[in-house]
Amino acid sequence: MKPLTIIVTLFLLFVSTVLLGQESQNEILKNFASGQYNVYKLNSKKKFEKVKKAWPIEFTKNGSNVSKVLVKRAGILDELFQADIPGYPAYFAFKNFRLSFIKDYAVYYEWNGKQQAKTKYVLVKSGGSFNENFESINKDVATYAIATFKNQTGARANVKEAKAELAEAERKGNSLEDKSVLKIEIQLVSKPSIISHFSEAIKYGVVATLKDGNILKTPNLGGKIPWDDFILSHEGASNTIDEVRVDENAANIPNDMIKLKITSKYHNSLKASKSINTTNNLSIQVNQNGFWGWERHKYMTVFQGVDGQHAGRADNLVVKVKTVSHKQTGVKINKIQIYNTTDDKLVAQYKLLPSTELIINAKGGQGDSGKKGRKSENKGGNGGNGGAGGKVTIIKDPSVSKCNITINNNGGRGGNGGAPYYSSGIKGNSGVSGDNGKISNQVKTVTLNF
Amino acid sequence: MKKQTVFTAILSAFLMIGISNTANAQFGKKLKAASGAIKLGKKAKKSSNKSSSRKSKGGSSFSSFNSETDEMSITGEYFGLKDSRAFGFRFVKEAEGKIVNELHYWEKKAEEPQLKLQLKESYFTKHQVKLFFKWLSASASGYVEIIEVSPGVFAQIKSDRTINNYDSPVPLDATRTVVDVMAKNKLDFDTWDIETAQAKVDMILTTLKSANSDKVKKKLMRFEVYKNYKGKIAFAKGTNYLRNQKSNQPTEKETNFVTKRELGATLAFKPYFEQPLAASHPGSWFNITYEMLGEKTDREVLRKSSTKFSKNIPQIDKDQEKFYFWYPKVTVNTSNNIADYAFLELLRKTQDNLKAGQTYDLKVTVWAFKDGENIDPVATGTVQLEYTPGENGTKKLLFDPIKGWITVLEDYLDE
Repeated sequence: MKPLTIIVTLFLLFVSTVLLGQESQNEILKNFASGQYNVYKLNSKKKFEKVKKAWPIEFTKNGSNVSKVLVKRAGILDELFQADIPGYPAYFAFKNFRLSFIKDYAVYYEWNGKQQAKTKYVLVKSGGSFNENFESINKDVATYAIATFKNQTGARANVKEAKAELAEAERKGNSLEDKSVLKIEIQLVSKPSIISHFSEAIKYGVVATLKDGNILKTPNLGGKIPWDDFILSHEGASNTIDEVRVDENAANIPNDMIKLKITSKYHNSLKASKSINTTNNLSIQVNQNGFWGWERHKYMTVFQGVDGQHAGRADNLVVKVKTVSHKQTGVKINKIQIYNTTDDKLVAQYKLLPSTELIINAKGGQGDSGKKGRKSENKGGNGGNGGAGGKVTIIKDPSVSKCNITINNNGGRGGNGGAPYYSSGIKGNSGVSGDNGKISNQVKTVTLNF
Repeated sequence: MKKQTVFTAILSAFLMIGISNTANAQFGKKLKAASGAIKLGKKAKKSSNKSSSRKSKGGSSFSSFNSETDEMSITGEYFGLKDSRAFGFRFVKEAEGKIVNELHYWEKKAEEPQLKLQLKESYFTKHQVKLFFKWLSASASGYVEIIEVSPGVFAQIKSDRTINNYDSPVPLDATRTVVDVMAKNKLDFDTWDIETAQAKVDMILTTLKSANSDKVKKKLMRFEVYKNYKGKIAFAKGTNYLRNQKSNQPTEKETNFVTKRELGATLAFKPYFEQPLAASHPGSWFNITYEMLGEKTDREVLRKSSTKFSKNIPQIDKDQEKFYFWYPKVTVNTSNNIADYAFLELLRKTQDNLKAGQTYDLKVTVWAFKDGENIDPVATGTVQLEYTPGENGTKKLLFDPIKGWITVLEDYLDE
């Protein structure tokens, strides 16, 4: 008999769990009606205690679907709970609170991102009673909600589909697709006075004139044409909607201008473009400094005692300069290439007016300060040594008559010595400053392929 | 022996002073007892009449207050839900020819009230909310606040914030916990228990927050960054370019934003929202998706796919009440080796199609996420990622045999 009882009990448990998970709130609420509900609130001892006043509950139904549940807290405060998924609700939500009807009562709870419920109240039909514990209610309602979420696939898909349909209808209404378009134009929203590497963004939108005279615009111009209607092929700048920024690499601006180019996805012959000459007059700072002592661990394995870490030396650079004419305006501009010979890496390629300042920092890192000395020693930790400045070679083409390049390649300062453990001790030695880097200037023919 | 006598005498004197202090410290005891933290005793001692303090220990009657009227209809004798002894509230609009709008609190009979709370006038004039507050000290425990939840019924509030300004209550986004209810009529306690009062306070706060949110948004619109980027995501070369010091003052410079970046290099981003998530999608939290080269990765989907992703992709359940992320996010950050694993997974998935010299559009979407689903996008942005050529370009950043982003992820997943 015993094994049979166990099997039957397990079977019943399984069936009840499955049933609990399968039913949506609409099914469960067939057994509930609007009216007064006894309320059991969770007290500080995590026990449910009955609240003196019953709370009225009103259900709003559309056919067999319950869309809203109005809980009149203490009979005076209206809390309108709305179904999470119309058609197959797992709960009704009001702010951060949820209400799920399970078995023959409603659980009023909070839900967290870890899929856990925290019950605050249990609402029982008038005349009913309630005698369960806090943990089991939390578990039951969480199990019910999670199981029901899984069963909401169809209802959720319907909601998604309805949403997608609305979105698609709106997109189509505003899109140029299936519309007779006369022309499209690029309109600048803002054009900064400086068009150079790292200058402010150029903001633009698209205006489409339909054959019936109507004018449609992209959102940033106050319209609703989706940006997806256009294929972007900007030159010399980022290929992005709404705003573009001048390319940081002069090699990508071969004609010394940026060209905004768009094509209608639905009318291949409809194209628009706008060209803006670069002004090449924004000062730039390039940093190729050595690392500081405190960040030495990022570059190599370090043993950290009381002594400060030594800083890294700056990389060696070769800077090539050649003067050419701006391809649109004809003014003289310098092509500048910075190459990191330590890392064997191209750092930058710019085009700047001869008077525009380029600051190149190849400074040694600063040594780490010594730590407080040990109890057993009379002295604080020594400061780490500063890194040496980088060696910078500037090669100017004979065409260069003027260029405004500032090189900062001082050695880094040594770190300060650490304090001794006892004031009677002595401070650690300061680290040695790094050597200043050398700057060498050469004049010879330079070839720069950008 | 003599010494012992003197010592005993001193001890007795201290004991007597102690008893006297305890008796004097009844001022504000209801507020103190209810909040469990507010220490009003010392203040009371300073301002209360010592001789009357003993009488009040048993609870004075303030029924005479009920015959007084004021334009707020507050003045009267009140009782606490937790501490049922009587006390008096008197609303004082004017004093010495000046408008003061104070609520005076008596728990024992004396000429001067034991506490004077200040009305937050703008809440009353704009929303008819009667909120009175007093900072007794700069700490959170020194803050006293009461809000009228119904005529003749007040909720006493405890907060978690320290002082910012003595003349202002704690801000609206502070946690306000109802610790006691005070009513003229004891029968009101049948309706107004702590939870109901808390629910009403929350409702009042929702109204105030909603109005405040409009005000905050109006202020934010003064900032070009917010005006231009609401509903969008701004990208930069580091988080430092996107951070700011003060709440609701986005002072970051648009000139530091980027629309193109080396693939594998540090890329920080910050979404700006039309409305805080708590207002637009209550009960939701944030999710982020990344799309590039036809592949898409989703933080929440990945979190549920394996323990490794679950461990390394935390939920974004902060900033729901803000108009932008307080701390910018990163796709990858080379300076501290931090990356979003969802972005790394995107790189891992697309690695075979990445080619040197090419530029790819990375679309980042921040979603309102609830019950396992992305409900609505709340901010989107696209940035171009350039695969820089050369051995020390993107190739090194992604495929370095030890430190490359993809290498590190693959090694971790293969463990």
